[in-house]
Amino acid sequence: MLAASFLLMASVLLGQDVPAQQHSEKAVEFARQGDLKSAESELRKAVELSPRDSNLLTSLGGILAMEGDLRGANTYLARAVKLNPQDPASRRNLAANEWQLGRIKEAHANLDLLLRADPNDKIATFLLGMVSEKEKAYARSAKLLESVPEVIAGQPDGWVALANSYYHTGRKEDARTALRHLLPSSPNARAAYLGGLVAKNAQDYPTAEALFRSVPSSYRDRAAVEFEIALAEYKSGRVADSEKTLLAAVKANHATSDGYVLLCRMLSAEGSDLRALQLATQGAGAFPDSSEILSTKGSIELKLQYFKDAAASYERAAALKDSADVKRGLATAQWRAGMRERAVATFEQSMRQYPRDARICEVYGSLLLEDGTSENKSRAVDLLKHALALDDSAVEARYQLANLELAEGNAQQAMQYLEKAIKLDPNDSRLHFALSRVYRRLGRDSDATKETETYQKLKAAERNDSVAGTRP
Amino acid sequence: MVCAVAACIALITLRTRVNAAENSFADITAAAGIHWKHTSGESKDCFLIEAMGGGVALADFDNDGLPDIFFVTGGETPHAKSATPPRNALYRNLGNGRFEDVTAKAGVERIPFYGMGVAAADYDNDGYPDLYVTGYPASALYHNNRDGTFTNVTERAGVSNAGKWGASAAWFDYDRDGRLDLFVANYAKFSFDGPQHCSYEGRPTYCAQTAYEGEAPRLYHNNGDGTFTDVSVQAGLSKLIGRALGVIALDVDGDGWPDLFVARDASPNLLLINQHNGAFKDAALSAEVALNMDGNARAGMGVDAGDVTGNGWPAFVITNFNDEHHALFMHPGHFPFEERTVESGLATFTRSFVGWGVHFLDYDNDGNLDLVVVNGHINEVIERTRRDVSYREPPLLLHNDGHGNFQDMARLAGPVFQQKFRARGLAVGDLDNDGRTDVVFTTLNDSPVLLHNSAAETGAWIGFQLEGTRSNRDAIGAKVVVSSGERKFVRWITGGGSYLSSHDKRLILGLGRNAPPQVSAEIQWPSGRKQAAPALEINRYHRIVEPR
Repeated sequence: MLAASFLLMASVLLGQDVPAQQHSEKAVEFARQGDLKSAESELRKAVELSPRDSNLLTSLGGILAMEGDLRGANTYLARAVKLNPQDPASRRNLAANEWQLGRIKEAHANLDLLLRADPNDKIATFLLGMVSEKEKAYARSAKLLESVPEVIAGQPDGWVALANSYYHTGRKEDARTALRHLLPSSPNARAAYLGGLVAKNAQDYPTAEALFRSVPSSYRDRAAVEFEIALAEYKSGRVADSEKTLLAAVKANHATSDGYVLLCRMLSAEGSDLRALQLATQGAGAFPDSSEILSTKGSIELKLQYFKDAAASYERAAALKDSADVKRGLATAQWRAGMRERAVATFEQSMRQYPRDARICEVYGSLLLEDGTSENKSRAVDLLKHALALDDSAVEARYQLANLELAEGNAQQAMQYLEKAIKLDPNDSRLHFALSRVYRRLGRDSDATKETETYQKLKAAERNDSVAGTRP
Repeated sequence: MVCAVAACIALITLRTRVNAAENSFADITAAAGIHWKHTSGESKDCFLIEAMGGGVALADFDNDGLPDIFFVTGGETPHAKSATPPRNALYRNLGNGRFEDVTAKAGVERIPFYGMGVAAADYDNDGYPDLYVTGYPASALYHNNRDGTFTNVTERAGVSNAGKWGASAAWFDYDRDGRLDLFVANYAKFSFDGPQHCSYEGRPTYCAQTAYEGEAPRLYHNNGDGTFTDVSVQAGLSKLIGRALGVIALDVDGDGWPDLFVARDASPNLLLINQHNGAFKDAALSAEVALNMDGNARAGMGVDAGDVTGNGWPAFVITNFNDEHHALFMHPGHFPFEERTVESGLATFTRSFVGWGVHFLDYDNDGNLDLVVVNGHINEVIERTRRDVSYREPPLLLHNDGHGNFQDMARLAGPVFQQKFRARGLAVGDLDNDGRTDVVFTTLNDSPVLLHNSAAETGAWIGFQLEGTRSNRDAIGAKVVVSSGERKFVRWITGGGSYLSSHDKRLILGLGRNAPPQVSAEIQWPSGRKQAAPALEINRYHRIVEPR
């Protein structure tokens, strides 16, 4: 799109031989009519006749870019610049094309040359702002882009880049103001969508939702837009609205796999596990290649204690796309289903496959402790310690190890585990409860009382969060 | 005074012994002539009380040397009326393996409230057990007239617990004045006028207990003249708001004064230590029996205490909801307790069960206290959501290896341990005086189950029927230490225990297979007096009277 804006400037017909000029004129006519293929064909004929005409090369590059052949465009634009390095238009077009191709370094170099030659080159300034945004030089990007308001005004992508730079430099309100240029009903659906993604990534969910909602219903990837609306609603704490949006998408048969995953997780979190499972099963049918849906299904089955089903779901998920999370779920489901040997084999294999994943060791160790045998206990201790070696912030491992030390009468060691764990997660009531037990054993009664009080405060808050309901 | 009473206790064998440890318990309910059924008033309103009741007491009401059985029914609810009015049942043990329904004659057939549990004890020290029946919105005290009838003396006694939903109750002598006092575990604020509505996947269900605000327990002091005084405030109990269900009374800290353990549902358990001045102090949190390891209150229902490792101190078992495990707290001789739910095997065996009545009993008389637990879920919808948890659940018989490690005996103990029930109350006692402990439990809206202990290969045993003189006559609170060769056994006569139920007050101690022909015992009476009883013959009961 940006290419179209810049490359049409290349239709300057100076110093060409006559046949080449005739083809060139025809090309311009075709381009005006929107017939890019014919325009390209005429320009190729012109270039064949005048191969060293930088204007023709620039025009052909421009047409190719408009057709989406950025690589092809770049070849002709680069040749044009090589033939006429002093021509700012050719270099500007090349830089713009390079930016779009993601050749950021080359684009940056060409734009530097242009601005050195003419510091007031507004197009180059704009392009360098866009390039800087890609380079994550957000402060520079914001400074450059806001210096050319007249250029950015006609470039929806520019507002997106400027907003992104503002978000990254802590200027949330400026970012919102920039994105407001894409509202209420954006003339550029893609820019509004991209703007929504930028706001979402900055966790500015109300702005994101407004932008996603402004995307016209004719937008080609409507399913993705609806998912993003639902996600924004969910992230804004409007779970019911989010569910409604996703259920409508499911009903209209254009839910994304991510939409199914989010919907199922929301339903499961609120206790509607059977409904969640039903939708996960439906989603797995609609997206048979989605490992994420299958692992979500497995997690719901695990929660429902359908352990064998969970193991089967995770197994299929692992076959599609293995990950440490999927393997952990699989091994846990196998363990709970009573397939202890297979679970152990899965855990052991996962540890070899994902040697840096602390959570696998943590879960494996915690499950072994449920058995209460001394052999398993010893292995569990090794695993939990290994989890800590991999990830010093593994709170669960610290908690389990502290309880083990406490049971062995090693209150001092338990205290060390717990004090560190509390630093990592001060709102975990279990940790304070355990530490109160430790202090009591160490004779530190006032500290024990203090920890008990903290535990009780956190516990009361947990109770307030939960709603008394059915106890199935 | 130590005297043998074998001659006056009929020895009746209800069933022929079977092989080894197999079929240790036989279901003799129908053969014994027990046809009563519990009425819960189950209705579409799903009042939580419908899912909670059914107490049972074993006590020798006619003093003929044979324990009789009293069952408590629930009652009607606004939308569940019975064709015939719900009734309790008193079954007289005929001594020939059969029981006779004497309820109507006894005058305990109907109660003017929804019934829950029962605590039987001789509160007036006249030698005959009386009955305290709990329920909502009142409870009742029935005095045993010593002629096969009872009189409702609630009003005069002042123990109606009016307006409260009483669950388990325990008789115990908290001030050691020789008269039994009464502790009532009150559950929650409740009304038949305002049902709480809950549903799961569109089906009406019983709401979680947390939908009901808890109540404080009550303590009634026995004035010795047939009346009681509510001393809950003075005792420091009135502030202990929570959903109490189970209670057991015994000396936990070894100071000779009875303490209380109260199992509470989604409220921290209580360990009420007797301060010797009429007051109690809750030490559950510092003793680490209030909550689980993660600091969560479990759904405590039933509770029992016993020395499961032979260290001379009482461990506690508390029945809980599924996934919470029935908890085992070991007493190391000082506080805090050590939770050994996982290590003992209880976590494994009880994970899928909602537990109610519970009791440590040495069913094979090997000298180690085993465990019997009855289970049953409250919500039928559980089977729609969980595959490892069922609505009806089997009882558990867990064998103790002497170190507090338990093994599930389901395959050996008899078919009943593979059948599923909605069980609630549980009481144990020796119904045929053969030295083997029998079991009876209630089931919701259904017939109770009477299990005769017919374990063939059992160890030697010794039984005690203690009679207090300076202490309360039932000797509730007494501690008995039996020395048999190298082994020592410590047992307590507890007040309360289990869930909504009341056990045979006699003690049976298994002595194992290598017991000498005679053993000695030391009795620490509730009054504080200690009494030695040397050279007691094994395999029989001994009636021991407290010296005056």
